[in-house]
Amino acid sequence: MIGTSTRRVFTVLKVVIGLVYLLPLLWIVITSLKTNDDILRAPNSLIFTPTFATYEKVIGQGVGAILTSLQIGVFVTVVVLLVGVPAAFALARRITPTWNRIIAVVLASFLVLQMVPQPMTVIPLYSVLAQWKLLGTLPGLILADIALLLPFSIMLLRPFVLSIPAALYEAAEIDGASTFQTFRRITVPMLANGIVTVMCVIFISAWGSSSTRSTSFPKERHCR
Amino acid sequence: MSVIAKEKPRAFDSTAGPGPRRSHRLVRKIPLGYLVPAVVILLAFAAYPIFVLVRMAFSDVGPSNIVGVWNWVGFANFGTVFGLPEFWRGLARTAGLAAALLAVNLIVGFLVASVLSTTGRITNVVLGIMVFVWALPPIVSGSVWKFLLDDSGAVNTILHSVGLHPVSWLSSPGLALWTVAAVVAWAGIPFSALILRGGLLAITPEVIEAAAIDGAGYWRTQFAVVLPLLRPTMWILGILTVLYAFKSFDFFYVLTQGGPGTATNTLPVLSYYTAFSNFDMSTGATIAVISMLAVALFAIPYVRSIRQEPEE
Repeated sequence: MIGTSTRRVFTVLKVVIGLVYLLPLLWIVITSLKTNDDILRAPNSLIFTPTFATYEKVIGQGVGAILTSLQIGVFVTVVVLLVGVPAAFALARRITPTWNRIIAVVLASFLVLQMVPQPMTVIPLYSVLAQWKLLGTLPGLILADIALLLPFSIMLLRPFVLSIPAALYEAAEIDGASTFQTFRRITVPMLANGIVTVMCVIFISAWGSSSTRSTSFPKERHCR
Repeated sequence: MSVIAKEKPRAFDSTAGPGPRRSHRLVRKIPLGYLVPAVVILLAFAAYPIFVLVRMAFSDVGPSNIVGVWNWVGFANFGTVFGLPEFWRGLARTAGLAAALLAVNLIVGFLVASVLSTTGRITNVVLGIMVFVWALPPIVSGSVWKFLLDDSGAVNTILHSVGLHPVSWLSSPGLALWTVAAVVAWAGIPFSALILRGGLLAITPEVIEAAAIDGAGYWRTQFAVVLPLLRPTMWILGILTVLYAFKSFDFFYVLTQGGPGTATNTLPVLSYYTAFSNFDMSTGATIAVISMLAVALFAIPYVRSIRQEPEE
């Protein structure tokens, strides 16, 4: 379909697109290997002696911060999965008309929650957390992150649950399996791929957003 | 996956009779208990705060009574907000940001998706880099650009070396908003390109072959045949982009904090700084509620299209 000349143009364009995304990142990596003096003297020179001194300094000073981020990331991921996987299971089982209607309502409200702008949750959360005496504490931050990521992860997991063939559930029912057994023996094992995918996405988001949130809560009160 | 898929049907075959009768005998329990924890958490930490936000917009909340008694003031806060020239400017900036992002995400996104729709090693590498950038927290990719776009940063050095005048990307009031919009677009194109690429690859090759047999060149096919087929995808992407413009906060927080002056105060940024720099919570909350209504307006078609999923 594509002529040789177009193909050649495309290759060039691909490289250009790649560079547009790669160069800024590369530049920061290069800068991170310079000393402060180098940067002040000639911020954009390419000739310098690379040094890892900054990394040693940052890692030395930031162990606490890195551990906090890690703690938040792991905790948020675990809770979101523990709560999200069963919820995705429940929302993927179209069993009775009433239940189907409940599923539709819950999914629609998840979508709406997804679209609430972040500062708009931060403003009321500030007063809610203040009321519950959780302002500027790690649990407050973790709860805020969980609430932010839970609807997203359930909506991400649900298609994975839906792709499990209904025949398996029917077979389990005929064999007399309880709902929990069905969940534990069929849904969870067959969901392994989905769970790992969602786990990565959630951990990355929690890792990233925890830094946002600890800075976007006003300075005087934020934890650390 | 395969283990169970092999085992279970065997058990099924040995016990079950012919089809239609069996569903009658089964008692199907509604898995309500599996949904309850998620719903409880979301009610407490997502729905309740929104309720509080709305209550704030109708009350008088300042620095002294964040924890305490809130007096109901009706629509007074909305009157105040609509009387603020800064609110209308913020609304115009938000609309400008949305328009810019729409143009870039749909047009550049489509071009990038077209270029990357051919397979190959370079495509994989470029897609990998783009997904990596997309997965970066905005605070990180924002900081990268803040550094590069600084008055004495790399971009200006390059401009200088080719004989152009340096530009104060983030510190000139007329330009700052568009600079931030460009950075937001840069970070958003991977997403739109991936979505559109998915749409492109899903188009049956026969359609494109037919166009080629009729003598249409690549770009002609792309615009006359492929683009109309992508309309549903474009539509959803467009709505998501507008929603994003009304949500985008992180990049503004990192790059300009609403400045210089108030030049980059879009509605989310304005509501945040009104609420937290003066602790005028009520006004901030009111602006937030208003922009949430705008979001809801755009969200309706999106929610409706998503809900039309095939039954079972």
